[in-house]
Amino acid sequence: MALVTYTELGFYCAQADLYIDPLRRVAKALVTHAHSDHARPGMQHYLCHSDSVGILKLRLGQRISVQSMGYGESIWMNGVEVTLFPAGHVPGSAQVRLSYRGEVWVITGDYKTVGDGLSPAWVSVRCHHLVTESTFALPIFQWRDQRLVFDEINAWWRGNAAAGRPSVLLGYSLGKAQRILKYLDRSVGEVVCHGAISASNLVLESAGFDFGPWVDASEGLSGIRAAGRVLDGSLVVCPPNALRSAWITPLGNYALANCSGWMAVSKSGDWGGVDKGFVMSDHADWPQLLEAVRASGAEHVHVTHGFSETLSRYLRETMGLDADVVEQAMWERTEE
Amino acid sequence: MMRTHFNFIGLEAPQKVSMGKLKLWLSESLGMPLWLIAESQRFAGSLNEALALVLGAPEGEVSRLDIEQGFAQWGGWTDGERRAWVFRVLVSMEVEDRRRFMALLNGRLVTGSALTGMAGRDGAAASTGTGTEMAENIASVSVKVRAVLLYVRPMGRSVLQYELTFGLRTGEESGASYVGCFKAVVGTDEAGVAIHGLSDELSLLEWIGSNLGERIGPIRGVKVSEVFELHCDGVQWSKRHKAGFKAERVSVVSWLRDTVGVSGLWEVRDCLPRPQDFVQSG
Repeated sequence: MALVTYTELGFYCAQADLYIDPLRRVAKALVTHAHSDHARPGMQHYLCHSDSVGILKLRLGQRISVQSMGYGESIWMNGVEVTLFPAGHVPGSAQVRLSYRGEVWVITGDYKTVGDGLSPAWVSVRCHHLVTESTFALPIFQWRDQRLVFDEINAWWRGNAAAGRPSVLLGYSLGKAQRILKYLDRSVGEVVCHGAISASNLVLESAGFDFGPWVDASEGLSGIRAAGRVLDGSLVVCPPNALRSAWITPLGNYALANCSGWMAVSKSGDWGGVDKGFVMSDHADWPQLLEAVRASGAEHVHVTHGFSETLSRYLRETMGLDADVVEQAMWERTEE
Repeated sequence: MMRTHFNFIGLEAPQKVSMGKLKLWLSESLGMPLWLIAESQRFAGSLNEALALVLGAPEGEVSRLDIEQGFAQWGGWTDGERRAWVFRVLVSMEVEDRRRFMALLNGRLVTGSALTGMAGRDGAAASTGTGTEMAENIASVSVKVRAVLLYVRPMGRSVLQYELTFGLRTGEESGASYVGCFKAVVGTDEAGVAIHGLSDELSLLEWIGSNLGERIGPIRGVKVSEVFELHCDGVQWSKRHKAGFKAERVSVVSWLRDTVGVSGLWEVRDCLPRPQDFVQSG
């Protein structure tokens, strides 16, 4: 029997009795990172990277049972060596290496191979079996150097500020938001964060991450205005669902942009109501996925989570690898 | 922030290159299987956009002079030489310019002298053969399409005139529905002489008269069968039009006496700059 199998609860290593990012309650859950489609509530025991502990407790409750480990550290579970390596996706994200009697598996979780200066950079790990995500596994997805994207973002913000108009940039509260914060040009104006992002910021700052000054808007935007701060030239970072709440109302006539890999495709001009789309993702694009597969040296590749049919067919037909699809029972669009 | 675009004004492709041909050329040049391009097309929504994106970040540079020279030499080239040249040009361009260059190659984007007025409006002078690269902001383009006649609106009392509404396909497959996109007037003056420059304008008026359908306010439906070639100037994005774009001037070039081959909506959208560069508010 293979060291890792795919069950209806997710990836499972029977020898270690360990699930990776399980979908429902199990005894021992290794969580690759703290996004909600990987870190689900209700597990008896959690195992994750030390930088994920704070966010996990923030999202799942302070009383969860969680054991942490650093990158490159191993623990042994019934003869299986379990090691975490940086995945470069978001702070605390990890690839999992499982080794038993000479058979090595790597489960990537979500990853990108190009460093963003915020999360520890992805490293290649040699293995026999690679389980890879495929969120952006189409050749139309090819990311640009993030410096170019941040130049565009800062220029957009500067233009809005010059017109006396606030800017709103959408980004998920863990990862994308902090990556944006880190590279915003503070000479333009103040950076204001929605409560969900502020909460993640505080946890990550206490873990040693630094992404520059920001203003906490947990208590609402009108409070900030009342305190004498000027919102007109500021940039507000908030998760997409904040737009559907009254939280955003005090901002008035703002300019709106989204920052996501999906923005690469114009879909005939429909970006879901945003003025501007910046193409930036915390997932591997097509060239990065191929690079990760090649660098792993794996003969067997199991593709999950995204355009899995496309990537596995390409790996089989063009790269001559043994590749198959392992579909997640509950496929959800990945939180970025 | 307005991006600058490659200046295509005055350039005319020496020969029509179909999107299918471009797909084959890029597939061979990139070593990318056709099925993978097809999957990309399915997600991107159009072949034009998929091809522009699979080329990745621009590499190298291409000038207007390079393109003029390439077009001049085109006739003497083998198919392989054309493929290599088109590939090199496309790779060097930004995604946005690739989309429009491909539309230029397959004859949908018209950048001939008809564009002089448009160039003036956008603050850039039309120029041909100067070899200089002009950065310009193009908000509207001219396109050539095959559109189907959907509705007519009788105009005036003493003259026989109709305002015609033409539609484009919304789906890829045949039997797809149509969306009204362009309006043009045909008809006669008081002396009964056709005045809109269509050679068979009188027989078109006759056809309309005998194929009128249901009445929708001042509009009459007609039998949806007749396909026309239109030349549309000043085509630009518009949130107030169902098609997503509008045209300032539409002329009916010919009545094709054909009932198939209607252009898709996306074929016009492919020619337009991506809306995010121009929409200023939301």
